[in-house]
Amino acid sequence: MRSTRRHFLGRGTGIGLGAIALNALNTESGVSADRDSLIGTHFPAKAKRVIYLTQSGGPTQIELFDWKPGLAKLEGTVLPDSIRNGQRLTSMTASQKQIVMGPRARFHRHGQSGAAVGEWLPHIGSVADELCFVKSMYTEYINHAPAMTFMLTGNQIPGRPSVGAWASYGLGSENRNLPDYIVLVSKMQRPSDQPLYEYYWGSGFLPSRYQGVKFRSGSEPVLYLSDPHGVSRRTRRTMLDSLGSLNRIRQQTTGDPEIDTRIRQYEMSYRMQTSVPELMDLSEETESTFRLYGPESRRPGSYAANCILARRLVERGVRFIQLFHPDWDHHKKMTAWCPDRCRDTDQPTAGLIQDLKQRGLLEDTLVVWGGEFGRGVVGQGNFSSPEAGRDHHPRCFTVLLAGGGIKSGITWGATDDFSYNVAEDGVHVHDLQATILHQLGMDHRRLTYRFQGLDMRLTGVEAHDPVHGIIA
Amino acid sequence: MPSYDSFLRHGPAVPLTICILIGLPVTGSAVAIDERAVDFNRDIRPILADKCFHCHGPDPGTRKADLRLDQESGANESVVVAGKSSESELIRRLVSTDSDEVMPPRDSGKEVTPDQIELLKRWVDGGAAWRNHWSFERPVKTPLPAVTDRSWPKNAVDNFVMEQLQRHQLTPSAEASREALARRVSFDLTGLPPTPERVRRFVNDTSPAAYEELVDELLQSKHYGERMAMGWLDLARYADSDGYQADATRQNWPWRDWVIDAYNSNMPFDQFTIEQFAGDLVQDATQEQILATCFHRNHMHNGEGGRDPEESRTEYVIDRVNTVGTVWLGLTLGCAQCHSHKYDPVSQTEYYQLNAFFNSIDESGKAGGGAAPFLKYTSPYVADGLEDSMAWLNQVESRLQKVREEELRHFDEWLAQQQERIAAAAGNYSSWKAFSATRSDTTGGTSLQQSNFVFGVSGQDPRHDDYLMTIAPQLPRVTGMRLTVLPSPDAGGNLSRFRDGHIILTNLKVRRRSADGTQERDVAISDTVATYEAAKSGRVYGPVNTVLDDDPRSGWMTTGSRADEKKVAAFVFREPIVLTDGESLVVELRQRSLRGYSNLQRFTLEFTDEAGPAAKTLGTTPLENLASGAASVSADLRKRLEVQFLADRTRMRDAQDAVDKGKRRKGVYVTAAKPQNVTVLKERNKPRDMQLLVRGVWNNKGDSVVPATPIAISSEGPAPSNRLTLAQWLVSQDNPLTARVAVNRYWQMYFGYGLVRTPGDFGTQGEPPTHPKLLDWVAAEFMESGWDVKHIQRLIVTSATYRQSSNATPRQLLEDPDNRRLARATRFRLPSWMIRDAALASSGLLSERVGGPPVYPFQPPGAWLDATMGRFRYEASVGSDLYRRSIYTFWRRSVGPTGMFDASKRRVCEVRAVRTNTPLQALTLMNDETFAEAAKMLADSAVSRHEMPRDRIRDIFERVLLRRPAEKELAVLTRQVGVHLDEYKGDGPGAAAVISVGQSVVETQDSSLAAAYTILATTILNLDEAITHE
Repeated sequence: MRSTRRHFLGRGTGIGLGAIALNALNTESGVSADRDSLIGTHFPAKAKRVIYLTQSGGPTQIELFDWKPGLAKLEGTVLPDSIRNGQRLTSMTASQKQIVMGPRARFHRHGQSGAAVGEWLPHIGSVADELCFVKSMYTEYINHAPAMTFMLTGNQIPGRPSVGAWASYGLGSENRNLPDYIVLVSKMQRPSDQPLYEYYWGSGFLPSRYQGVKFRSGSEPVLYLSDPHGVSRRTRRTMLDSLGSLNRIRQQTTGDPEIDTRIRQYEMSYRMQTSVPELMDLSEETESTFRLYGPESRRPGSYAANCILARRLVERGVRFIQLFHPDWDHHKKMTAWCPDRCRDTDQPTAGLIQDLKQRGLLEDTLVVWGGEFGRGVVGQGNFSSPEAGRDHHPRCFTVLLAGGGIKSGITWGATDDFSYNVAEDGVHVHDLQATILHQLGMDHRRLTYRFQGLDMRLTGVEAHDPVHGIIA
Repeated sequence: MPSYDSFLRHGPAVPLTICILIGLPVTGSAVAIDERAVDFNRDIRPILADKCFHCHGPDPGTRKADLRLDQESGANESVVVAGKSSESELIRRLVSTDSDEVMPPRDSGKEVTPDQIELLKRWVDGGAAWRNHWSFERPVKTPLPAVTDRSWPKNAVDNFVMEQLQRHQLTPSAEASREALARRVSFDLTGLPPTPERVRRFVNDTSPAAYEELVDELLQSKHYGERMAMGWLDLARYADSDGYQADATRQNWPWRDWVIDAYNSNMPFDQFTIEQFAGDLVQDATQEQILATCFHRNHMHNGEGGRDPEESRTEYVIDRVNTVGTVWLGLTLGCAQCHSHKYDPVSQTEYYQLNAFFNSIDESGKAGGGAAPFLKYTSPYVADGLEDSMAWLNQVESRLQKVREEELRHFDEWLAQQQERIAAAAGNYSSWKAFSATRSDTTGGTSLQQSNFVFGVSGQDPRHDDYLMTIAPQLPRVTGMRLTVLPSPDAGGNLSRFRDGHIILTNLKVRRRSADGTQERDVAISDTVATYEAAKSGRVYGPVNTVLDDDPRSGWMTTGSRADEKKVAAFVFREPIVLTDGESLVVELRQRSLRGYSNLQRFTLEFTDEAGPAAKTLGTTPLENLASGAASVSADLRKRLEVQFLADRTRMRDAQDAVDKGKRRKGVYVTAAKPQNVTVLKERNKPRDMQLLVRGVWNNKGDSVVPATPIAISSEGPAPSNRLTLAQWLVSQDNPLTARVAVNRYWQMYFGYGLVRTPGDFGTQGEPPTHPKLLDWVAAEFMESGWDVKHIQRLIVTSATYRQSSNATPRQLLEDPDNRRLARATRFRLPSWMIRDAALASSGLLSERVGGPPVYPFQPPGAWLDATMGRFRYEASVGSDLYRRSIYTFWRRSVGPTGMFDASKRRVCEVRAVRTNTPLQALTLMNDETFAEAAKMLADSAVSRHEMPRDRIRDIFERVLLRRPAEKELAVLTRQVGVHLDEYKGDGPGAAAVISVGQSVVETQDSSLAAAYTILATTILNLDEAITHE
């Protein structure tokens, strides 16, 4: 069986031998032996699961992580052409003069590593020694949807599988009552400026069972989870027993093995109706946990509550958990808007890392914090007023990693004096993706799936590699 | 080859024998040769394509050693010596043990197996015969193969299928049961099940033509066009919104109706193609021909701020070319966007030559209202819906009137109760009451104290501050909250310590805190009002309702009024809150404004339990008026009190809600009856220069190119120069691909898979056909018939192959699990939209109206809000619009219809049929409101028409499955319904809830009976058989 799985992993397939392996996966035999034997890695994994804390909109690295003490003095000067070097701009700022705007936040050094973190993120600063600051991330796209699509699926055009789908396709499940890939989106009171498209967690050309399942914050975390009013558990059980008997009768006539799977999936749906509400119910969490994640953690749907859920999902063996927090797009009024997003996410993020650590889960859980691009040193709007903000910037930004076999308390890569270009150890989006897969025990070049006659992979056709320098 | 022509002219009966006579010796020997000879296209090209083309294929960018193995001249001139494998470099390199010489190179990850090397050797030794890739050769009809069982074939299809079965010593399956066949063909041709009556008629009709008559009847049905169109909409990536960030609603639905029309009138496929490519360029183009060109404007439109429209426009052109590639040519042209195709003979230059056909549309790349060119088109499909919506509105309006009158009969009783309450308050009646907070916190380092119900802040005034108060109002319920901001001596008698003395409140939140303190759920606020709010536009401080968003850049500001006077704001809760023991409300007031230092200094919070207008009254409420007034109630006050009374009556609220929805629905039809803006094709006066895009990057322009088609596909006939001639080239008899690709998709509809199992890839990396001669025969037939679409459907579904049973034997499952040999019909799950339509049809709910603006069936509450982060709210339709066929369901690209699992995404063209089997689907089918309502109506009709449980069960079973239940099935269901009946007899509210689902009302009086059979019907609707093409 092992070699079957290897074969399947290595070549990918639509129909044929791989489909047999896929069917075996699909039967939901849970943690039984035949299923375990299908779970394969290319080499020993350092991380068993991933929590990806997606900050959508492009957080400013200049105010949050990439401290440039000299930049304040350059406020108001024209960005040298040698720095800009032909960088494409969005149509919002393409026609204006490129004037430097200094950092709008102070920085403090934290922990033994002495990492400098902006004042709007005091809690993240307090766990700096657990973090790896990748300051030399860069991407190829400058608008939200293409850049986020690229970040999550390896291609700017919608329709490819997301990194979470790849991971669950490659590794399968550890839990028979929950999906392998679960998405939690912060519930905001206002319509967001950047919608979060379902394809961000889609399975693309991979079979759809690998797609992320988005849990909602209301009483129905999964669409259609609740039985209609008036249908008791007992009624449902009676109905499913009858349904199973009749389906088995039909299978004798038709000989179709798919009916077996269908019976199992109906049974799994029944179990999910218990396991999902149980997961979402935080009433057993202690007061100290709520204090650790901050006051918002009592509000279902908040980023903080979702961070607690992420930990609960990790405890239940879910492979890939992805949070989305929107509205980091601060073209204007950055000094009011950005601290607000920081307040939403700072304490819960730090709380999650501490919580995982104290429960012994951090060492094999990879935590990723980051957006689709950074923000530019050139200011937008009237600099001297609170109106000012920053435009999108693809050439450098910061991503945080923690746990899962990544070195802690380090900074990787550096940018130039303007936080404009990568100065050393650049990390391309595909490099980051390769690193995530690597920590999960998979070689990004060998995790492929045959589609439209091509062996497709997350990291595209150009040569990219895991960032070995940050791997512990 | 006269025999095939005569076959066409006269039909199968006579010429079949001629074919067999002539064909026998030829095919007989062909079978024998097939076993031995190496076939280039079957055996050799796939090896070369997979292992060699990447470096020795069509792409000059990655070509090594200047060697091409995708062309005969490239291979045979240099590395192949025909007849002599030992002298051929090709073979020598494959078997070399020298790691510098061996091919493919070790680091390529590719490997040629010994079996493959053996094949290659035999091919070279046999003369290295070279043939073009099969799909680039014109399809021609080969003689019909001889078959031993001459009674089996019903038309040409069967001879080809039988030939393969014979070769593998297989026999076809028996014909499916009459019931199964009627059900299958009805789903296949109309997407709907037949009625039980029609099935019975068919079962009892013993005439030999009974089946053909059924097929013809289905092909004439108006539902045929809807069924065929549903598939076309997937290919056309049709949706009712733009996609991307703004995802603006569009009005392209008249094009959807054009497609339905075209199928129903059996428009030939060549005309269907030409009109959608270039309806605007044909002579004397009609409105409908121009409408047809919407096909090439159905792609997504990107309205993201800061985006260069030219980049978007470039993407649209590319999307069109890729769609043409998939739908007509069956080629993955998109690979050539960045570099010449590595496997198929399409160079990057040729790719952009195809782009050139679509590059001069008079479009800007903008979305929404900027997406011109538009056709102003008035749809002929609105009148019925408009009439229906008006009739519905009349109905709900008169119901509202009736409910109002009935409810007002209870008004005096209510008024008396209120007067008692007022009397009990002993002259101190107030609609608003303040309570002591159990906690008061701030985040800005200040201190918040409540004294005499007034909150006061002390400490240094911070730039930003949040106040958090926990209060448990001692009221039977809470319907609203009032905030009064008071002047403070600490602020010099003003509202705040800011220099102008005014406050800004950026956010206000009310949360309901659970008794154990682990949860704080947001309380929705539906309405706000204030005694004063600074008049400002946009996202600047002023209006009080902006405190409800999570945005610190907007909020309530009092600047512009007197800073030393109190200000009052009221907040109405969407639903009244009834707090249980230990629960409390958490009120959060945030001041996170840009200017800062605008914190409230003194304020009160009061709550009310009164409904309707009272909760948003800033002055005296009606009941306060009543309390202070004389004994007699003035007419004006009585009116205000009536409004307050009615606002609290559930029936009245429901009736009012129905009227509001009815009005909105009528509005939809009134708008739809006016000319719609349909995005269509139109050429610019001055064509754009088309340049190759280096590495596919939109602004990295290379050499200019002119419109042209790829050389490898077809070089006969005049070279196309515009969209019209391009379309004519696609549907010319010389084009080897279009007909094959089209009939393959038809085949896929009926057998679950195409004859080519990669319907979007007929290139060298796609799968070769399972039945090449059959595919070619049907494709040639399609063209010869004048691209007669219904003719091909009829041909396939009247074949004996199609009519086989789908039951599989253990041997078949073992040897041919994917049914490549077609020794049976294929059993596969129906598409989700067909499952829904079938539930509507069998329950009698289905509205058969064709065409018109999109509708909104039931969806779980909040599905859109949640998926679009609050941008779009979904409101289910009312009236018959709830029960329209799924093709009319509004398709928002950013979220898609929630219940349509495995549907294509409608973002780009999709041809693969996706069929997964997941627990989420089970949940959908068991719990979706449409299915629940369909079950209810099935139950209601069975219970009211029959007395005996067996008859009731049979009735539901037959309506859904269209066959009689077996005894053992009846036994299971009888037992089940008995259990449910016992349960619901003891659970009156449960039974009432089950039968209150949906919009329709049941006739059955006994609700436990109706509920028990509803669950039974849900079971039957969820049977594997019910959702499966058998």
